[in-house]
Amino acid sequence: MTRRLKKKYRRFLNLFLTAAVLLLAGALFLFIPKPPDEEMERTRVSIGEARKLISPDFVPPTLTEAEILYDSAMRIWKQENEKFIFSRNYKSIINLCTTASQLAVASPKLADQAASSFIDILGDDIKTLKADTTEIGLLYRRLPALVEINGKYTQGVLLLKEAELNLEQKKYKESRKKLDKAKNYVGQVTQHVRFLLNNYFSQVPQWQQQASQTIRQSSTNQSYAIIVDKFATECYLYKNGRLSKTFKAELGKNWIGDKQFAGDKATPEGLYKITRKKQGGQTKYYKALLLNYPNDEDKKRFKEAIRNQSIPSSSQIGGLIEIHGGGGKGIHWTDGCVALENRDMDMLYRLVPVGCPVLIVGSLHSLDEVQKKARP
Amino acid sequence: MKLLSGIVLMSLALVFSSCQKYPQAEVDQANAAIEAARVAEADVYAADEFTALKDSLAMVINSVEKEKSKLFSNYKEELTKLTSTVEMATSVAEKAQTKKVEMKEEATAILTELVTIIDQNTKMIAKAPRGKEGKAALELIQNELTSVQTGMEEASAKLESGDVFNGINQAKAIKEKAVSIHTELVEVLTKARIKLPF
Repeated sequence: MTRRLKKKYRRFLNLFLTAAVLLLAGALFLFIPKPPDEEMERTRVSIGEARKLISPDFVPPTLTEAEILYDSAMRIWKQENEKFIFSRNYKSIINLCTTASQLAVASPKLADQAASSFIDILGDDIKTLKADTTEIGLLYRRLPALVEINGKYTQGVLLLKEAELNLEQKKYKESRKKLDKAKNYVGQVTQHVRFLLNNYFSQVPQWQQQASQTIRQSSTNQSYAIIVDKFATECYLYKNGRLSKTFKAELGKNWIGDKQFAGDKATPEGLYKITRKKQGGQTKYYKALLLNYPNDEDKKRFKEAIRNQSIPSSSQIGGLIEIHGGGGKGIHWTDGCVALENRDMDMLYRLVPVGCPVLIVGSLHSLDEVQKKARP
Repeated sequence: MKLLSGIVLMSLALVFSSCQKYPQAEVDQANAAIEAARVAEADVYAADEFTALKDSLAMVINSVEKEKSKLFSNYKEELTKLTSTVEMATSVAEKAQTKKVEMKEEATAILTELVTIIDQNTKMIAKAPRGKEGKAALELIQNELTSVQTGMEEASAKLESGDVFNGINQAKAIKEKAVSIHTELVEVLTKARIKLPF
């Protein structure tokens, strides 16, 4: 009896202890801290989404901070995982994740604000510089060879194109860098060309007055008059005060500005007259109308230039300035003469007599008018 | 007591058999694969894919740590994901390299085309009205052509040094300029009634 009781008691004890162990194990499971995987995953997704939306050029400090916080959270999580399972504490990780998520979610809007104004300004600046480059290019290509600024202009054009390509590729910072360099080059060219042209065109009122007088005289005397507009590269024939013909003209290669001395390759500016008509063996340029260069005014200006030492004292005033044939090359190539196409020269030669006035001016139109006309 | 001992022993066996080793080697391998992709300039030539790749690894690491946080860790799924990440990194690196090679080929083709254009431009300059007739205008064009040639050398050097991205942009910009010079010279020669030398 006692043995049977002992056996029962032992079995009961076994069952009790087993149940107790199982209950204890179950209870311990409840005390295992919950890992912060959901918070970490949420933060990762927020950062990933923000990264997708934000251009690498405009990553705001908030996103960088969010990434740092996420990395810190991950480091702490790893450290905590090294501890005994019941003594792990994930609270700081959850806090870091909450802040990181908030920063990541706020980042696209901040980046968008910075990017949109940057991109708008960049786009506008590219458009403006493109227009400026085209405009200054059109003007400067008409000027005598300016080799010293030509390299800068070409560099500017090349860099501007690269800036445009970078903009298309959404490499905004790179585009801005190239654009600023291009601006610098084109700016130097613009400054140079503007200075030159402003000086040149400052005499337009005087030239317009001379042209009006010449046309009036043609009308009064019922005769022919020739006016050459150097900037327009045109030669106008007036008959009895009315425009009769317009011819394309080619000039001396240093045509901008008045002729200073022999060999400067400039076409003189002033009122002249035809002193001789040449053809056949008398000229190598088909037919020619010799002008009375230098006139009194040229001689006076030349003497003054020698006196002021603005030209070398050994300089000669030069001569043999003509309107002649052989033109139509599309470039300024003469030593200072005005070249017309042979068929135009035929007509002019036939119509105008010796003594016909020839007015050569820099331009009959203001710089603004010329620029407006040049715009595509 | 025997039953209790049995349960305890079985539990311990279960615990030890269920707890897998942290896949440090595989994580390191995935990190190395991503670094290799970066070295292959995936961040430049396959930027979107590279960002997705990094994000993918971050997701797997999260999952690995989640498993490690459990009493009974099982990294079977994570190991598969880590292997996929390595494969993905290799693929992204290859894609970047392919893209880079394609871009380099495109740039080289532009530069080859440029050699022909520049050669034709040089021939046209030689034929254009010389001496007193347009020497100055030709000087300008020659000057532009020199800038184009210098730019071409720079673009070529960039390609050689591996900076394909900037090299191709420079080549494209130069080509546009060289073509405009070509057009201008054709016009000059045509006006001067000179036969084109090519």
